[in-house]
Amino acid sequence: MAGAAAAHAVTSNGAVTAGIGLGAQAAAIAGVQYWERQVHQAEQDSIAATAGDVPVGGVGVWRISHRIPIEADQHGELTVTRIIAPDVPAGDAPGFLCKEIIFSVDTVQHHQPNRDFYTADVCRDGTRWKWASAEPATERWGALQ
Amino acid sequence: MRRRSLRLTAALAVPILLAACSENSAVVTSAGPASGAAVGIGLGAVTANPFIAYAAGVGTQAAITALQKYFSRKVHQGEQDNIALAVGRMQPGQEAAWQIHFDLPIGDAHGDVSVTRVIASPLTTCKEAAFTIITSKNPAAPRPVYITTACQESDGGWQWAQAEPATERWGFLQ
Repeated sequence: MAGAAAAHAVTSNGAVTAGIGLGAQAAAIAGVQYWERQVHQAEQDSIAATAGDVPVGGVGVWRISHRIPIEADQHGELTVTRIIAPDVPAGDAPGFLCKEIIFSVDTVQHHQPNRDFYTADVCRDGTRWKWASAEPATERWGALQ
Repeated sequence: MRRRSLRLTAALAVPILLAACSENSAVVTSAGPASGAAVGIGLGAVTANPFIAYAAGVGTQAAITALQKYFSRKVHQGEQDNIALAVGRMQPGQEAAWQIHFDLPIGDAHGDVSVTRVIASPLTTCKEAAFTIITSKNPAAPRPVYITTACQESDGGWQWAQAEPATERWGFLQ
């Protein structure tokens, strides 16, 4: 709407105004999605980095404070449930090293502590650890798009 | 003018309901813009201003998309809750049937679920499970198999626990 208003100030052609308005709207949506992805990536990176230092059976604490307040600051605990690595003879390993994790997202709901659990996979990428869960099968995208 | 807009509201409700009732999102996705455009063309007949017709079409499309997303998410949430419930009651090696039925003729599904692994941890207990989803009454219909995880919450219930994909893999999901 702001796009359309701005465009209307410089052109009296309704079709041009509509075109600029829709273009601005599409750009705004794309922009929000970009920042949403950036912010969420920071949360995934935080959990993955914590998991990289936690051994199987160990428990670590993760926490993220966002510089851009699109998402709430989050924290919780995580544990590594197993190592996922190729079953190859020592010395021949191509470098795949992953961990299966369970992490909690700790919140307060109705003045009561609430804890939700999720599972994910993280893999070593050079010297850092990154989120490694792949996307759902396309047949299961329905509700996501 | 008011009477006309009321009639239009009724006309708009038809594609919206169609979208909400359709189960296959791929079909709805392709039907969304089409029905939006159709509304735009239909409006063109009652208003000489093509921009108003076009804007109404785009608005309708947005409404259809939002509704379709809402219903699709509700259907999937129902599936996830039922599968997680079954998983919580089962031990590895056991197989059970799961099903979900809606009052509206959309989203009914059933299948089998089997716990493939118990994941014990200091935080909580989770289970890995394989399940099939059958949405058609045709016995020859495909029976796709998927893997997921469910974890026990602090209240004792079981919830779907598969976390979101890496943001680098979101691409077309957003």
